[in-house]
Amino acid sequence: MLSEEERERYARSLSILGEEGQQALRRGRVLVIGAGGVGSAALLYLAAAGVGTIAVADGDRVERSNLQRQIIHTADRLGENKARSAARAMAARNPGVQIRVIPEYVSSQTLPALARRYDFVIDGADGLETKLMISDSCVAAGVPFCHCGTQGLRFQVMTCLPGRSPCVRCAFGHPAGSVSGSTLGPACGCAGSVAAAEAIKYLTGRGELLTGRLFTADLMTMESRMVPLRRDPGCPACGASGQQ
Amino acid sequence: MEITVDGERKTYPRPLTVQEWMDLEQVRNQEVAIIHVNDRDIPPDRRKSTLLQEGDRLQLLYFLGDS
Ligand SMILES: [Zn+2]
Repeated sequence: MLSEEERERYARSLSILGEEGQQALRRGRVLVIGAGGVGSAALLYLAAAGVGTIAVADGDRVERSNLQRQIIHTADRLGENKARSAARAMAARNPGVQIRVIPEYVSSQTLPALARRYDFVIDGADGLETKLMISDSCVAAGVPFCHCGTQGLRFQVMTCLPGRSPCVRCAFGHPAGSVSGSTLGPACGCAGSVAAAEAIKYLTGRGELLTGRLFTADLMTMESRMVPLRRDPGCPACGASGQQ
Repeated sequence: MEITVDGERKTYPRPLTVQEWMDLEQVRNQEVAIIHVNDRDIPPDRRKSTLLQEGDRLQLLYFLGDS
């Protein structure tokens, strides 16, 4: 049962998700890796939506140069750990959600066990190697996750249900490198918002997930594409020779 | 030869392989994760041997590494 306060707070969501959906969100547990540009948007929307338990992992500290895109942080929190700063913003947004702060970077050693404590993981981290590690760890743990990437005004998002849909290695083969440098805030906001929507859809069992396809868009040209993906039987992470 | 690259029409004076096209357009191998020609994935080891045809549609996909 939802409380009167919850009914009021989530009135606009209830008309879309129903009480059952809102309760599913309250039971939901989501881990967001990285409280950067993508994580900022994802975390704020997850907290606002009423996802019951939200964990945020980040070992970095808030710097002034982060503030043009990492909208969860504020100028009065420069130098603070990003996971702690993000937690304060989420608590202010919605005191009804439980927030877990993991003020450190995750690794291939720590992530599989950590991921198993959550229903869904969002990759809001930087760099090719880290993104592949997150995909591999979630596949190993059997935990659904959303992969996000940004650069400039471009963003891309896909969701993986381990063992059932392509992972990041299936999607990109053996990428020799990544496109990186800097990103403008709106691209992070789009990716983080899509990732939050994927988590909400997964937790409530509604809509169509971005599985078996990668959504990519360029806000500079307003071109977008849905790239079909297939599971790679030879995938070292999720293929026949992999762990799934 | 006229082909379409990410929705944009481009004309070249002679037929090109995927790799020759990449070299001509200075598309870096290590940045492009996937090249689709007419919706078919052309992996890196087939880029030198795949000859582009009149009217082909190329789509490039990059691994975006920021967040
Ligand atoms: Zn895979």
